[in-house]
Amino acid sequence: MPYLETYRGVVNQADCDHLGHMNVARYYGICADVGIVLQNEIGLTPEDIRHGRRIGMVVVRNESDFKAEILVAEPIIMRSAILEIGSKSLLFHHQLFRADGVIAFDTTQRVVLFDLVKRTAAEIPPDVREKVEAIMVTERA
Amino acid sequence: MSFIETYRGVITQADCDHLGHMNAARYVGLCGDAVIALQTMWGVTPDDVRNGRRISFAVVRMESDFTAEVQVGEAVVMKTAVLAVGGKSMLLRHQLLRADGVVAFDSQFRAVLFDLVNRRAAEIPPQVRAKAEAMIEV
Repeated sequence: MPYLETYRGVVNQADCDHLGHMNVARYYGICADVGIVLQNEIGLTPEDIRHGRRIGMVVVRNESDFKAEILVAEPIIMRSAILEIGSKSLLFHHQLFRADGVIAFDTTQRVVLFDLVKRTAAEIPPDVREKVEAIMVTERA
Repeated sequence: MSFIETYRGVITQADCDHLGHMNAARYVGLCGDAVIALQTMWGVTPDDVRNGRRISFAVVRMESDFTAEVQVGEAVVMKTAVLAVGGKSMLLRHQLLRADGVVAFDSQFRAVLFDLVNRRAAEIPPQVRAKAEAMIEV
């Protein structure tokens, strides 16, 4: 499977800080949104978070490189892949591209399936596992 | 390793997400604030960012573990240690503690001194280096 486009937007002034570029926290805000997009791809719906199975993915570890600045008005795209699946966790890889094709940010995130009632990690259900396996990427970009 | 307090605050609903806890992005926002607190102690002032030397530290790599949840109403403290100082960069460690003393977040953070005019890494001035190095416990 190719990497999926998981975010597309434009950097506005509210995303930027006193250094004149997109603030570090905003990168992770985009990753959080992208996590929800990926969840939907594997059958974990907003309804699962709100009322249904009461499960959602939460990040437990990030390894991130900030490789280039992103300034205001930049159109940006995030592309993402699922690289690994465990019994309770997944490994996400996200790359954020500027309009000129430069990779500005590259991050690997370990996420666990979280039981929102018990507040503990939970086993990935078979229906979700099946969908993950169908879109998993074997070759990291 | 010697940690100093670089942030203290209370988590509000605006910091939390639909999973009922502080959003991952907010942890990193607190790290950004912590770095401003630190660099100010080292003499890289808000005026250096705005008008003066036009320098500031900017993060280039983070490795972070989210070790416990932080929920709304929690009083949190960030503590930061300096692990190493290079020619243009330094390695920091941030830990975010809940009021019960549990470490909720532990991050290693490579920051470079950034020339805000030329938009590239710059040499750390000697006075700043001396203050940063004084924080490394031998």
